Amino acid sequence: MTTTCSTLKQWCDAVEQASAELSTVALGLDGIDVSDWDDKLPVGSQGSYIPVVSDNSAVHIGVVSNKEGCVELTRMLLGMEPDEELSQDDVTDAMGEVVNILAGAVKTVLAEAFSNLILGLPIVIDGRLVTTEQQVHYRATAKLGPAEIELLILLEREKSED
Amino acid sequence: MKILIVDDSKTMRMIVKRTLRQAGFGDHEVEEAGNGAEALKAIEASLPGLVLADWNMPEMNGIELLEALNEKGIKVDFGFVTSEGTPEMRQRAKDAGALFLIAKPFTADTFQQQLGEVIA
Repeated sequence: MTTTCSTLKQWCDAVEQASAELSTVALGLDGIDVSDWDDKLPVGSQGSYIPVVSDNSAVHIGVVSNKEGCVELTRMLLGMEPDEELSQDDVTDAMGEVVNILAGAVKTVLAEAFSNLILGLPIVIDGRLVTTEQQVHYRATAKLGPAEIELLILLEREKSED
Repeated sequence: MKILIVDDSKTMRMIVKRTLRQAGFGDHEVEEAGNGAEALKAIEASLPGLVLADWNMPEMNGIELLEALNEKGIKVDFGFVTSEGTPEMRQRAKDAGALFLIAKPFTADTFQQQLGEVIA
């Protein structure tokens, strides 16, 4: 990521800030360590994405992990013990809420910089992300408790560059 | 008092119920609805003391629910529990008649502060 990509940097910084709030307030953790951002596709194949759109931008924010990581995130969000049973529906629903909470916090952080941001409804994916040439993606890794996750930002290519 | 929780996420409805208990409001009857349309029918059938609604929901979102209640002349204490916490959304909620907007993620302390005056 170059220093001329100020729009992308704003989004990355906002996602980092929002992930700290997610980890401490929603999940009851001490915080989160987010790695540097790179342009690799996520390794994890299970996760949730949410669109954040405005008049002149369309961004997807994602939280990706593996099956075990998604289960751990669900347990933390619901305050459940390790031996409590979870259905796939519970995990799907919880992952949608995780990215919803994250995106809401991102929207608040960016409210001054980007007016009229609108959150869409989250989608939960089981499969690898495939991007097009018109899209730019950036990824950072982090750990939320025992869950290894990847934070993802997907933007239209011309909107990521100054 | 009957509290109606409106959210398309079962997970979030569980979290709101848990936080109500943690905030000391666990003695109140709780009902649930999965979107604004379901909530409107439930409210028309039996008026709750308080509605806690998410904003973004399919079929009928939270602000549409509040506006529908206003249009029908149904008076009910209404608050948002939502990921939408910007000043603009807070103002829009207030203008529509919401008593408060609690932004996710939230704590039991936040529920105590915001709901304490309503559930008195």
